Amino acid sequence: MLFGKRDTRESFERQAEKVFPSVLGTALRLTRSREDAEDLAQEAIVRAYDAYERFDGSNFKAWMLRIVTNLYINRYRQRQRGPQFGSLEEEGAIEPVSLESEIPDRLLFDNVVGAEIEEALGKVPEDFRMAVILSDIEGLSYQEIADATNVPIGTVRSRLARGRSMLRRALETYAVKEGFLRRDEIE
Amino acid sequence: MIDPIDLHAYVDGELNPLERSDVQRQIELSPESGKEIEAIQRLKSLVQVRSEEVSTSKAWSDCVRRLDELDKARRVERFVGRFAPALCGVFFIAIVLGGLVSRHHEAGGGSSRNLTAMIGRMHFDKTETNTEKSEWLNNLIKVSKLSTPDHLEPRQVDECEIDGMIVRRVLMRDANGDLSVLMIPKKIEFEGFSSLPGHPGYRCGQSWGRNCIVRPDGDRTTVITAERPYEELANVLMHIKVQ
Repeated sequence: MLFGKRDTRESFERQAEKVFPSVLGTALRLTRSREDAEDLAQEAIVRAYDAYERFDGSNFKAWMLRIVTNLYINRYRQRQRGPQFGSLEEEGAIEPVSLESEIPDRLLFDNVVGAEIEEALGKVPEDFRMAVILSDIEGLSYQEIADATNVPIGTVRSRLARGRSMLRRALETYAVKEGFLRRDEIE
Repeated sequence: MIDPIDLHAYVDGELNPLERSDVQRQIELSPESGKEIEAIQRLKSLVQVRSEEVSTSKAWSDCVRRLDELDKARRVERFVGRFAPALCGVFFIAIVLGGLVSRHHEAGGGSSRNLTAMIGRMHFDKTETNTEKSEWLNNLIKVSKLSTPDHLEPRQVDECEIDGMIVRRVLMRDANGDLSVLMIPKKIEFEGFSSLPGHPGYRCGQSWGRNCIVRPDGDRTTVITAERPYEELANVLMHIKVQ
């Protein structure tokens, strides 16, 4: 029994350490605060360790991210002040990601760096940002995102399309502000 | 143009084969959709490749420390869970032993006592002669205006040993009848007794169906008991000074 527990701990720690950058990264991108993100990630690790015997063994990373996301939704989001606009915008038309000219894309992608992407992501409303993070950064499937965020797959699809579109606009705004993209090139 | 949501799902590989071939067919007919797909793919790869690495070493070591604490707590819980009956038994025995030791200690030190039990165990022997009685009484109860009112007559003096203490009893009589005064050579707390209003330091209670008043006298205790009200007993006790 004692050895069984030790094995469980070792197995959990091995897997958790591997996915921890994703756990902390997702927590950081959701909370936008290092301190909150570390608390959230630590809480998620403890919860996961508690529930490890119930883990079905399929996709540990998706399972961990589901715990982080649920914890964030249930705990941290309630603490935030001010209204959440994300869900209000879900019914609007989805703008295309592409632009008329190919030049802006090249300019944009050649010049943008990690910090700017993070900043642009931060401007995307939370529900949409969550979908983009889980899909494009963490590589979860639509079903896994739906499980993690407790919404139907259809909602995940629409949030993802809208989120990417918003992210693209935020990156363009940054590019224009920094001067490597002219306003008339994107209009 | 194809529904943008379907285009995103196509890029993400989330369409079933039928939907996928349908979208592919439409892409061939719509150059705009092709362009949009390329833009989505570029944005996806941009976010994936250039999003910032997060430093995790300190946060991870904090997590490991927390897991260690959790394991420690679980081990304690398991231990307690497994040996709970034995631990309860040990605690029970400890409490019983503690009680016995405490009882023995109290008997020696005279710090706490149940008056009912004490009086129940008392067996008094008469002192030898009337002369000795008088001498002892003269020493014990100082004859003064206050301590020996005319109507309070000492009738008999007995003594007995309880838990190593010599307890003396003086039987007295006044116009209202008999009363007993016990002189205990140690300071004793009486369980169940409460303070008597109007008489600081006096405590009252019942023993063997009779009212008792207890008064600490330095490192001794004086008890007066009779079948009469507390207030009356207290008034009599006020006139008795023990040295």
